[in-house]
Amino acid sequence: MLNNKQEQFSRVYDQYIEKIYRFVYLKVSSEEVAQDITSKVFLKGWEAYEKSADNIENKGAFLYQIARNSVIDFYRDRAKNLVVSTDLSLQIADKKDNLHEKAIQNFDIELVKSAIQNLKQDYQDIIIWHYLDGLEVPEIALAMQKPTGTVRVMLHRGLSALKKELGNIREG
Amino acid sequence: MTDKDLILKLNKLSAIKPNQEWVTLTKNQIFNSEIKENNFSVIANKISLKEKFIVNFNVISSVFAGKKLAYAFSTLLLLVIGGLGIIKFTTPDFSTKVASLQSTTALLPVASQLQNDFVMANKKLQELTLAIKENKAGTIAPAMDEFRQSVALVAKNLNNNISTQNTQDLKEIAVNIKKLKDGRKELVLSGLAINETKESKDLDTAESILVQRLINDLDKTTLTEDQQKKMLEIKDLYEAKEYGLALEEILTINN
Repeated sequence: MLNNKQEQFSRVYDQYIEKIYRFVYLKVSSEEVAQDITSKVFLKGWEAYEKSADNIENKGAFLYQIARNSVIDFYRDRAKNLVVSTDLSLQIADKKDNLHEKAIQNFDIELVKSAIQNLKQDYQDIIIWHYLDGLEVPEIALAMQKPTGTVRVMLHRGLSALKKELGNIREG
Repeated sequence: MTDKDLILKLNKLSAIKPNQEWVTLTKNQIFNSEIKENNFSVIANKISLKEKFIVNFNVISSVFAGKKLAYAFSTLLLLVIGGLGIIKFTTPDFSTKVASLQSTTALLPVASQLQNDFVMANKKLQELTLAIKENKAGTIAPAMDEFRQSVALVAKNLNNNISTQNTQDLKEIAVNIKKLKDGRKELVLSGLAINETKESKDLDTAESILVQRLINDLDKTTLTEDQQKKMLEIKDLYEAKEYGLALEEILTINN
């Protein structure tokens, strides 16, 4: 039987599991890795929530931050001592013919996904949060600790960069 | 392609959803304390322990307090890069203090914890400096050991978090690292024996990551011809592991 905090976090889990998974997946492009990292995000989130739920004002932003850092750590650890910038294009190819890949047959989806992965991390995050997860600019500004105006500019630039990437991919 | 078309394409990514069986299984595992440590795959098994310190959350305001972090880092950085001393001196009092500080800072966001680490290390530097000046028997060794331990904390957290800093903060950190190197030279000139330690190597690792980040950020900007030539030199320096020189050159590129 779940206690009160477990019930609360259970609702948080239900609300954010798909969003966090998608956020991670778009950055790592592997279902298995995305599942692994997302699991750890919520485990860490639960550990923190269990200790100090009242201090977590914005649960979504909190989870996104853990997810963001987890992806960064993942790439750094994979490279071991090699320095890997999170802004580099993701080269991971999930060659398994998995259920997730089967579900995504739409060529446009693959194209956009590849283009997003070529963007700087900040642009990736802003685009995913705003256009996929429905976060408004003030929420994103809070999550990124940047002024709202800066986020608006970054959103515009991110979209332009994405458009350019899509053009490059099509030409390539 | 218009923005509207692009947004429509982006919206298609909403089709990306996790496997529902996995969703249910993961939820059960999270609340099952007996198995939650063991049932996740090992692909990403080295996710940083820094997340353990993320408990109190005004999450975002503290994580990105980069500017304060950079300035605090500058004072700290006079501390140590080469590592200070190989003389081990048991200092139970300091260990207790560190443990106490860690337990309290475990409730703080990462950046605040780093600031606390810097404050601690800076304090230890001052104590070490005073001990050297006064040259009292039996005071320098423990001061050096305490200082070394405080720097270990900084190096650890810095390495874990440097990747999350934005470009401007990284540049400020670069300035501070340069100051640190200068400070190290002064320590050597003062006669203090500085040997390579794990902490100094950790800080070196942080510096290399810093340089790589700055190089990649600069690569994505529009550079003049002169700046592009300088970038080639910077990359050569990076390849030669001359991170300090690379940082100096990077700071001359105003972008």
